[in-house]
Amino acid sequence: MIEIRTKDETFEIKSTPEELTLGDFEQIQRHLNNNSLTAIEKYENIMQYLGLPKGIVEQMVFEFTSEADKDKRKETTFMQMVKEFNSHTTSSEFQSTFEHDGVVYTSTNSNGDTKLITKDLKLIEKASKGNPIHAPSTYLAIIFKDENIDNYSPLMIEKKAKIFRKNMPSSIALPYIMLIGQRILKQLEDINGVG
Amino acid sequence: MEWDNITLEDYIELFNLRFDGLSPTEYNLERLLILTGEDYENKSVDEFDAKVKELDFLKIVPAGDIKVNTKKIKFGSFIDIATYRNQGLPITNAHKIYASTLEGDRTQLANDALEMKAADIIHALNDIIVWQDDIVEKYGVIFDDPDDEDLTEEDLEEAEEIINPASKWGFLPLLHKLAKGDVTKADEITEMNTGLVLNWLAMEIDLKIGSKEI
Repeated sequence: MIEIRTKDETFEIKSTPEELTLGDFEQIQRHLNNNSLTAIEKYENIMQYLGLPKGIVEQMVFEFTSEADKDKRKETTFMQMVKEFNSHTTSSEFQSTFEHDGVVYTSTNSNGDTKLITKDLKLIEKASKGNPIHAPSTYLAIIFKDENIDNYSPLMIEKKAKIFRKNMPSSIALPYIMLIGQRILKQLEDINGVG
Repeated sequence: MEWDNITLEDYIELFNLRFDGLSPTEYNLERLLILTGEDYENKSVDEFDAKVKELDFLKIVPAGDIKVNTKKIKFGSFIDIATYRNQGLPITNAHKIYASTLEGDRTQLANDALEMKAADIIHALNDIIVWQDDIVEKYGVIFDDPDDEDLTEEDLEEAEEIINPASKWGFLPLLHKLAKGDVTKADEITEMNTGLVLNWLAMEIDLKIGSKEI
């Protein structure tokens, strides 16, 4: 959590990968990637999405410049808010299990080997060309499987994606999202040089 | 997998995959299917990646065993080669271009070429293209671009011989000129040696024989 203090109130906003869901991550990315917004507008939208009442960011001091102000005034400045929000690191460890509502979704077999097959990669690449906002939750829906359903049914993938969006912590999702991004980039580089 | 086992037909099929809008994994699955006959969709990612890595040999085409005797290429073949090149990327018509340099039933020769080793035909194709491009450059007086800034108004008026190989008619206007518009003479001219025909025409243009007094 980060604390955002005004003269009169204090608000707590979730900010760590463990607190933010995959859906929160997608929305944060949506605002950050919106090039029609200024940097200030981006963070204003993100904070409002995360529950900060409208108008609070507008009233913030951008940054305290004098030492006296820094010591005396307790309100959170805009720059302080952004810095604290972005200060959390993500673990690069891959968690292979996610449980929700009695259902266990896993990305590995019982012997620890990844369940990913080439067919999954095809679907992931297809998802990367679809709705960019929800691509991450679709990736995770392809990677994490439920043994009791047809994991390749488009309806099941969509259903899992919605569940993960609302409930999967982004701390579980982020290492996979980064891995996929690196893989897609490398494959495109490889293809450009191969006959 | 190795170059010796890849026919021209396989190679053209691989080449055309680039334009099918496939994702990287789809592209590699198709390549593996063409070259091994096996579908890798249900294999583990590690196994798939290892197999794709084996395709790196495709990056370099080895030397071929076929040498094309470009000095003997007839004028009709010269025109056909240019026509096939104008239809798209040369590799997609490599079998037809190569067959154009041979005597015999062109359709059968082209089909035979598809079954030959890709490396051999690719190198032959390269030799043929280089030969033709050198000719166009050597006989610039015939093929100068009418949009060339160096040409004066007077040059353009006299440029009845200017042929643009890249136009939709390719070299056919050249044949038309050589046959003096008589289509019954076309066969005779196409059977003549390319160098002889172009030398003759270049001389006519240079000395303005035929269109004006010397």
